[in-house]
Amino acid sequence: MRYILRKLGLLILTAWAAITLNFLLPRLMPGSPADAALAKLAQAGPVSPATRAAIEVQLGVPTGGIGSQYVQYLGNVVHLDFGVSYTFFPQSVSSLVTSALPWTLVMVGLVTILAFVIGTLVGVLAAWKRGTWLDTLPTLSGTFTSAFPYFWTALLLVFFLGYVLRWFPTSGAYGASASPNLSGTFLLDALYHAILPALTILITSLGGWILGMRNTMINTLGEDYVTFAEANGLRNRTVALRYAARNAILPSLTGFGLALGGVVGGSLLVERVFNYPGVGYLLYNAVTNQDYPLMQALFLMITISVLVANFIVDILYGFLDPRTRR
Amino acid sequence: MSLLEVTDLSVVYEPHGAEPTYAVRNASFALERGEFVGLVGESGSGKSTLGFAITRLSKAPARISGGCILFDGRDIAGIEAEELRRQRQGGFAMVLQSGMNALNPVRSIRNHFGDIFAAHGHVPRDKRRARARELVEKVELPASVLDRYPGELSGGMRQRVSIALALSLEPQLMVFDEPTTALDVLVQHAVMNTIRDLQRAENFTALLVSHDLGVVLESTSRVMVMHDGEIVEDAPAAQILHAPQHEYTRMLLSHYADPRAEVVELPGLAVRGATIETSGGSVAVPSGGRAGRLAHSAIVVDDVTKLYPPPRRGEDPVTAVDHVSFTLEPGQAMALVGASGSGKSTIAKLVTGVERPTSGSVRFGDDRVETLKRRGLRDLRREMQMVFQDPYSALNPLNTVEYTLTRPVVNYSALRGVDARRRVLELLTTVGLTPVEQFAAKLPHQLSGGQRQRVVIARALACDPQVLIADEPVSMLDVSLRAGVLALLDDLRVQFGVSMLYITHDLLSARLVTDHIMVLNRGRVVESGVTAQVLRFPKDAYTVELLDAIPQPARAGGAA
Repeated sequence: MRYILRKLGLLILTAWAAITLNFLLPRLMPGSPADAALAKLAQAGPVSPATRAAIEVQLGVPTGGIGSQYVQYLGNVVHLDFGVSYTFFPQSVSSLVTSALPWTLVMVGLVTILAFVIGTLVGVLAAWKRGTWLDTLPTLSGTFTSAFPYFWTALLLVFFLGYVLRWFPTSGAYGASASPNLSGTFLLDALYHAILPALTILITSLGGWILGMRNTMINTLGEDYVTFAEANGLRNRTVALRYAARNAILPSLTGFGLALGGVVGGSLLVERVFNYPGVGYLLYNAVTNQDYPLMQALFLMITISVLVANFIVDILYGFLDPRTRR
Repeated sequence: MSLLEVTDLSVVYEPHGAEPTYAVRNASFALERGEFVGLVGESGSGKSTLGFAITRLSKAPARISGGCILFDGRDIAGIEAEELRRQRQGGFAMVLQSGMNALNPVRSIRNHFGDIFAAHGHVPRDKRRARARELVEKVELPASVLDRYPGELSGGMRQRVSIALALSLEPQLMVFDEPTTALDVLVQHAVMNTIRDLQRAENFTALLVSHDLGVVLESTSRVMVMHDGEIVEDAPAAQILHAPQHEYTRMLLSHYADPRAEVVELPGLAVRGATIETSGGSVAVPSGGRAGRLAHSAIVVDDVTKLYPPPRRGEDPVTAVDHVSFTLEPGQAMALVGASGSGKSTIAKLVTGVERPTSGSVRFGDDRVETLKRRGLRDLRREMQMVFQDPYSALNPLNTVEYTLTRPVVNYSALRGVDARRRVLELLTTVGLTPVEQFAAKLPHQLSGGQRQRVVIARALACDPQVLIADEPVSMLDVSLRAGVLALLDDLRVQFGVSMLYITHDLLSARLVTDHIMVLNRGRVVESGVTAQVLRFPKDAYTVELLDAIPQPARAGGAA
């Protein structure tokens, strides 16, 4: 319990540091979005003070000292008020993010978890049956697929499964005629659209989990406690799962934390290829259109999600490894 | 019918892409019910391989290539995996060398027992808690350890737990593979006592595999000596001790001596400080000849205390060294002895400036070691060099001997190129690694443990130091190699006049290579003086305890 509280305290502290950095960084940069816009206008001719004031108000150039700005910013963050998007004016940044987030969380998040679970189990099996085809087949194909860049895999899947065979839709998260709701038909449609992007992520990330788990597992299989467990005649299942795999999973779990943290921001290319309306696609749009409020909010969200994912893994670690509890 | 009958057993290692090695060749022997037998040999003799083979734990690349193992009248050399698994309850059990690592770090001790009971179902569900309790009490542990995790127990406690786990199988045969090797001296002694008591009380058949003839002779009634994969001698303990037949057995025996004896000798190692008066005032004869460069600075340790921060918040700081003072005169050899945790290694760190004392001072010549900064420490290290305990990890496996030795020569002297190489070859000659050209080109894995330790010593000598700090330099080596390394250390003092701080738990080697000794217990000096005097006529109870913990072949047949 004290362990969890300590980790929670650490989470809040780092989150605060991240928010503060997010506040400070844009202010440390020379110039401002308003200056950029004004400079562009100035090329065409002189800018009147009235135009200048109008642009500054429109873009919300802050007034007051840095201290009061900071307090206001913290208040806005707590109320999830990140201002208005330039690109999708007049939609607010938070409404854009809330509509994109579920798509990414459900599709990318579930696939990441699925890849971790399947990859780890296959890795355990491969290590346990070392040297047989159950080992060589997944290890070899894992090495092969994890070397694919995932936008390339995405393009291949789009071309063959989507364009040539026409088995799956090539873009979007749901059919053109549907609108998001929780009815059975819509969910099925969404699932159908999610298959190709999900498959892309699965194919490219599975190999890493398999190889990682297999290699650590082979090391733990050489540990004395495994030999001793065999000497004591424990059942194979017990030795493989509770003795070898239980210890071998710990390093993989750290990787899993990083992968979970990357769910929100890391799927940019896949979502771009499939025009999937998730956070990655939104971020892509924000960057190409120099949409500062949107970018700032997304970066903050990505940071926070990495922190939260690491917190979850820390807690899991505490349950799985008694040595970290102290 | 014997409980175990092994006939013509051979085990071969067949690694991928390398020549097969025959680790055990045509071993034949029998173990009678209730017998306690020892299996002795040095590293590479095949004793552990044999131990693993008869409990059917050999794993690839090892393979039983021939012979049969009759356990209770059944050949177990070729039985199926599941049948073998069931045989392990009420059959044969094994206690591994590194009991420290034999327990699953993420499972509580109670779960370890639970796993065994669940696998064999030989203890009814409602009796399991009581049985686990009974078992840990048998190995003299409190029942509270059942709720602990392995990481929370000391090495000795962990080894006791693994003995209790093996015992929970109710085996007829227990194989102990170096059960106490990784443990501290005093703990070693206590665990061996427990094993002997258990064997008598439970009357199981036991095979004790060990490199230490002393431990084996002290515990067992019959001893098998293994050399190069073959059992070269198999005789009652008393006969091994008094009338060894095989020359290898005789060689092993010759490396045992009682540090309390009047005259202590090992093959190739001269007697030290022989002229002492047995009553009161003693005169040490430091045998350091003054042929070479004389060490000219003394190390003066003055009332030094070292505290480490507490392991957990709210606890008291740990006192590693507690008001210790001593002087190491130029050319002198002093032993720091004590069990682990006595503070002897911390003293070495304070003397070399790796750690700074909490209070007190360490002086070397005109320098105050604890105040030295980077530059000063570098100069200090030119004069003070370490010889480490583990020659297997003290050398970078990717560098040749020549490269390893060239580094300090170039770092600490103006010699370059041909001159540096000449110096390296000279160092190799000094430590007795000849022909030097051949050894210079070798990589660490091509050398034996003793040869590696010689390279480590040569590296320490490269900058021509005044002081050598040797931290357990022979404890990882085979008995037969120890005398050679000790003789070398002793020679270096005579030839070059270096002083030596010799850190060890092994009182015999301290007796052989030092003139003065300090006995440490929990950071405090409990006794000090001339080595021969202190060891022959110890005054402190702790020194006596340390001396008693040394296995003595002379106590052979104790457990008969």
